[in-house]
Amino acid sequence: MIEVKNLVKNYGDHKAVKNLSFKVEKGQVYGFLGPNGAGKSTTMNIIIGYLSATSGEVIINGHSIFDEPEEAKKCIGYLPELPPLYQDMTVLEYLKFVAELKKVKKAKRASMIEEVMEMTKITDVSKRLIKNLSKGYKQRVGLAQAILGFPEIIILDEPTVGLDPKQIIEIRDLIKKLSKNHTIILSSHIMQEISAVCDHILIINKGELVAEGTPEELIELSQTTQEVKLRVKGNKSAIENLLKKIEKVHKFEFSISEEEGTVDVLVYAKKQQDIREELFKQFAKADMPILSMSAQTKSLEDIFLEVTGNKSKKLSSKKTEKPVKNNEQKTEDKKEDKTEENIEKIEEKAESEE
Amino acid sequence: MRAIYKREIGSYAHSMIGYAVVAFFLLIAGLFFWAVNLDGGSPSVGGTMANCMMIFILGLPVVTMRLLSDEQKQKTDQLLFSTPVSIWDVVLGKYFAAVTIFTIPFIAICTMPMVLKLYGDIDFLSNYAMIFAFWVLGNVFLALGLLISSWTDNQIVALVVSILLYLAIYYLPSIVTLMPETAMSSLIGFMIVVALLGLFVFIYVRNLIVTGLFVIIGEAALLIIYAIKSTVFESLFLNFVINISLSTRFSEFLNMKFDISTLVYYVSCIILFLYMTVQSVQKRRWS
Repeated sequence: MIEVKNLVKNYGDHKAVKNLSFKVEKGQVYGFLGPNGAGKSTTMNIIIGYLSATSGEVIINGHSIFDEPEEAKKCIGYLPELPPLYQDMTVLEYLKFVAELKKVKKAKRASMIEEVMEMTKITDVSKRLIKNLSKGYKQRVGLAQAILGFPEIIILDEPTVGLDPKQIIEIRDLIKKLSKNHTIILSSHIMQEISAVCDHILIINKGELVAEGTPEELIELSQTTQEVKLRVKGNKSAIENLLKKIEKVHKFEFSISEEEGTVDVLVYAKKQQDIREELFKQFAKADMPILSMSAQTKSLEDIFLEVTGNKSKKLSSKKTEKPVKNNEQKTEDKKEDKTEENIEKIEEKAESEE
Repeated sequence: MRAIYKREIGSYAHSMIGYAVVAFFLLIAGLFFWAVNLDGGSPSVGGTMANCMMIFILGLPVVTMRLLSDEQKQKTDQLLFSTPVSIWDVVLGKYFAAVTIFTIPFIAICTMPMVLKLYGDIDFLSNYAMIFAFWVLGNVFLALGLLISSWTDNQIVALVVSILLYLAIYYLPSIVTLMPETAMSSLIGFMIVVALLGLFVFIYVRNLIVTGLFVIIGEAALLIIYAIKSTVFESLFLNFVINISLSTRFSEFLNMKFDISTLVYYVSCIILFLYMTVQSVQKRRWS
């Protein structure tokens, strides 16, 4: 579908994109994640043919964007960070203009514009001048423009930036709806945004791809060690001796406990092992009651911070060939849970703001 | 191209710029027609046209200033260049829209010879040839304005640069005539031209080595020719300026002569400026 090979973009001495390569397969939602200034927009602008690359290749449906731009561009709809709207046109005039630019057949134009306006819920503002619309409506008109002509690939650069929670949910629902028939690439610097809608995540930092995989793959890959926080009644040296004897324990760190006669300790498990049961049994045996125990698992957010903060910790799903998906249903359930969680969070936030 | 053309025409209509320029043009043309032809009794619209040259300098930059600069500023060029239209489509669509707006007042101007006919015998052919040449000259200024508009994302900058450049083009022959016609002053004139071309090359390629080589080779060639045969340079610069000057060349038409070479020169300028506009837009994708 889209193949990006060794893409490099230099602005003078500044290297915005460094040797970026990835593939986008049909029918999935790809999330392009990275901190501000990571090179997301530059990469997207190169893919859609707005910018040229210093070196490298972008192949869209078999057409190189640099050699056959018109053929390649026919397969793409693009919503840039700032919706490219002509302020002096009405919504309908604007969409007619875009339909003509995209070479939509004259007979189909009116019905297609109607359909797109329905999907993005802008039918009631169709006769208004774009300059008089609110930010949310402008964003939706921009989105309508991108999906007009129903291209195979839809690229959205930060589509929910500046929208209120209700609008964010609507746009996400729309993206999900579109993903049934289209390949979607979406960029964001917000983790929840990406984890809510994407099947596949590409994390990019300083112009380089630092991690790639499904949300679940990324979580598993980064969980090299389980961390268990314990509060144990007993003295420090006895606990130290006991922990040293447990084979599954990789290392541990003591910290000061607020409760008298107890010790707080953070225990790191050896690679990919659950040590909670073992700890419980061993401490019980040694008559040192565990007063509290909590295992910490990494969220996607931690992974994001980890890979974008420290280049040496590169992750790639390709390097460790490990079966991750046991069954697809499970993955989907998880994703939906996560989406709902996020939406709840947003709704709560909105209520508290009110 | 049609989509872009239609949008631009709509935009002129929405923004009042189109109406204002057409009204301004008709007002000035009408005033001079009354003063030169009706009151002054001249049988040729040439005088009126020559006086209308100021509209080219002050009015046409208003027509072209926002054509490409505003696309950059509003980031709407991202829409144009992510859809399957070529840069030529965009540039030509915009150019023809500007030409259309500029042509509207000519419908009124074309009635001028007919009005004059009421008062006596006039040479229709040369009058209409003059109007036609004047129209083509305006189109050259529009192409140049479009090029300037592609250099910046600020329409006011485009407006000011256009007006200054048009003034320079208009007054250059008069200024050069004032200078001595010695070989030395000609040489200095050409050296300045080479330096200016060097600046232009730098704007386009942004490469000091290429620009440096261009300027050094150019200046060295001039100095060598001067050293070998300095007489070649005598009044050469003045002739050069007169030959390339858009406004001086137009005076042939004012003398009731149909000068085909001038028309060919104008059309070549239009093609050159449009080509440079396309290159300028293309270049922005690389920088």
